[in-house]
Amino acid sequence: MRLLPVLLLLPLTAAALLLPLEPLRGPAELSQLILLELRLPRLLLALGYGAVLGLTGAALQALFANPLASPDLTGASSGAALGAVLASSFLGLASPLLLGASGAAGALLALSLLFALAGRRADAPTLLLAGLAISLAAGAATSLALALAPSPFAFYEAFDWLMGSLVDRSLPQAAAALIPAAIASALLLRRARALDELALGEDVAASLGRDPGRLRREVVLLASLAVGACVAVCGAVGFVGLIAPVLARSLTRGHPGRAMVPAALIGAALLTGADLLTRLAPLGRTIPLGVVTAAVGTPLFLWLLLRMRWRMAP
Amino acid sequence: MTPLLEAEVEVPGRLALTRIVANPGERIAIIGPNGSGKTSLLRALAGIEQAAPRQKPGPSPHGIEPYTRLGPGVRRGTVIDGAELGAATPPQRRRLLAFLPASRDVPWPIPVADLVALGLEQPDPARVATLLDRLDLQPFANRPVDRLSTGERARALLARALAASPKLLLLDEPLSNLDPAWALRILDLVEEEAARGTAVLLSLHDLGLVHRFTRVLVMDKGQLQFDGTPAKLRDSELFGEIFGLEPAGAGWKLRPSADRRSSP
Amino acid sequence: MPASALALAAEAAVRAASLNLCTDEYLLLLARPEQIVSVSHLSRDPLESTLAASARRFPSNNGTLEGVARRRPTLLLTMGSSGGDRLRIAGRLGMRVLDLPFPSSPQQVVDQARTVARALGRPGAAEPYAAALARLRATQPRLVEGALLGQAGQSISPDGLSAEWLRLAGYAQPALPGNRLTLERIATKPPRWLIESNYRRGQQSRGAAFLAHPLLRRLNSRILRTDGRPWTCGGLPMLAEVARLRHAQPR
Repeated sequence: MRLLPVLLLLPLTAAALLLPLEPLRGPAELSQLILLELRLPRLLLALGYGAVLGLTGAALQALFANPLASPDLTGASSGAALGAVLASSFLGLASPLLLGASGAAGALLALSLLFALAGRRADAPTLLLAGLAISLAAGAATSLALALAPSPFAFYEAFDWLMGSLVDRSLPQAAAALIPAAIASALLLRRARALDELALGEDVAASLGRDPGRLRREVVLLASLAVGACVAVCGAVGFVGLIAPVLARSLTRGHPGRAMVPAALIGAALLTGADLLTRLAPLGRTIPLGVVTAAVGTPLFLWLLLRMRWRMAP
Repeated sequence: MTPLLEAEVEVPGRLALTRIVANPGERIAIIGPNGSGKTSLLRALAGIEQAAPRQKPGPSPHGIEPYTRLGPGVRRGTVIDGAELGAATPPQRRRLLAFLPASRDVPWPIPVADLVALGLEQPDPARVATLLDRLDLQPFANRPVDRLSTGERARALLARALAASPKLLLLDEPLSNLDPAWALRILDLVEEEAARGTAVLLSLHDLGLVHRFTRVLVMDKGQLQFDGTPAKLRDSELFGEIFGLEPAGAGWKLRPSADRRSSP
Repeated sequence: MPASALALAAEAAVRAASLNLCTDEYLLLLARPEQIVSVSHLSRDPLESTLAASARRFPSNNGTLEGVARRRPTLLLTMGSSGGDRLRIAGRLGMRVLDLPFPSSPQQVVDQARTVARALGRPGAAEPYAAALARLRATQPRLVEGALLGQAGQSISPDGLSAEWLRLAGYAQPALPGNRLTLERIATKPPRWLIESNYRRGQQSRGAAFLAHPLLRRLNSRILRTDGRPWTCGGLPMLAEVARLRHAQPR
């Protein structure tokens, strides 16, 4: 059962590389180029970004002791998009690393604002409301920033930023996103035990020698870094960071901290699958990535809400 | 004997500077009106309220002078069995103390056995099984903790606290939410732990159980007002003043001044 | 080898693809059919492009590099940035990329046409359009106030490419708050002329309701119709549309 995410990943990876088959039927060196320059970075980003969303979602849910916390619902993803857009439109930054840093700064700002609005020990509704407010505000600000940009194609860029896209991303871009994200993720994983102990409450965790305040700052910083770097390259993708941890916890018997690894695997599978769907969509037009994740994520999200209600009812 | 616990703690606004010394095997009840600082004291001893670094070394007499004036060179903190709590790593801390908060909330549907195991440094199924047995939790071993009654959850959390066999137990309201039978059984369990050399400090609401302890600390308005045996407490005026009660048989009754029905 | 033969060879070697509606226009108007390997799917839509019939003769792409890669173009036309790294990847795939900025004036459109024509090895192909623009300028009529009108009262900014084309047609776009022509404005201070675009007329009920509003229809004598499609890109097809507008009469 625990191997399930891994078993899913293998066929998905193969499919993402090989489908659609058409373009690969040509001469060998063209196929090689397509695989290496187009499909490989796309696959790496799908796997990596998906893993980051799952992992940071699990960490944030553990930190907030709340199954609704996630990069999108806390405003971190939208904040990151805003940061990257402002940096590229107003500061004219083009270097992928600088854009990633701007994304991280935006995410950090959003999460800090969340704590300021909702307080440290906020209950679920308060947290959700504050996070949604920040998310919506950041999204609107991003659209505004793009509207004020001179190019009339800014509208389409808004789509990419707010709904996510992996189209035509290069290997250097993938590196710029995934290397910082990997470092931040590795550091987050080292806090798995502390996050598990947080389930006993902040007081007990403190009595066991974990500094809850410091843990909070570290998780927020590392999550912002990982999410920000990815959003700067691929835009903000929703739902994966919410759903993957929930599914992962059903594999870890509810433990939130040790769910980070399975959540990463599940997130990678979800995003790779979603991206595959956008590429194979028979509808003729390209469907933005965020639409597919929403389409898959919404029923799961509703089921989660219903399950919470049933549990609370006697 | 050398004290197991030596601590000097303070929580500005909630707890005046308080010195606590405890020996192995002591069972200490902390009582006081609501808001008197019982929880603050327990938390400060557990090193949760951020106390500044270290602590005044040296032995001291058993017993406390509540209004000790301490000089500028005094440092604050908790020392258990010679080890400064502030400098202890998480694995060391588990062996030194366990803190049980009054809140019974667990936000995740973790099975009881797993919850208890969180108290251990390394997985130890045999130890978990023993604890589940002791607290009659075997039937619930695999049940998610959010599907237990409050009392059952309280026992599960207590089992977690006992898991690593700490030298010091700091329990905040461990007996509330429990059936009377279970309250008494927990007191038996506390005596068993104390017999093994553990020092136990727990806060208590039910004054009728005070006699089961070797020592009582009375808190009021953030200050330690009394530290002595239960018998001494019963006979002292202080108790009556703080609680507005006076002894009546084995229990208590309202003091005339506290009873608004009587004429002054 | 004589120069002309070299030129012919160069021309024949070019395999061009376009990823964007606006660069499609350049390609379809300036390249020889044998040179075109792919245009964006948007151009195939007659509701979107005046060149749809021509575009349908060629394979279409979805605007991504992978969509065109297997056709092995040697020249790629793009406009507007994407979040991706198209230029770098296209380079590694062996394509020469012409990434054009969005033009800000009719003259820039013609300059871009010349750039594209040169890249296609057909430097003379843009000259007829350059000449057409020169003629329009030379015969610039006196300006009267005229607002471009789209769905739901959308108009344009008085600066920018569309306003420049409108000026060439003889109309000066007034500045409107939010670049929008509201019904109140129409009732109180209507522009002298309204140039109504028929872009996707049948498709937006709200917009259509606006255009059917009695307040607007009252001004029928001052409403000219224009084909909305060339205005999207403001590219070469605008030359013909501007010329037509100069002689347009209200119906």
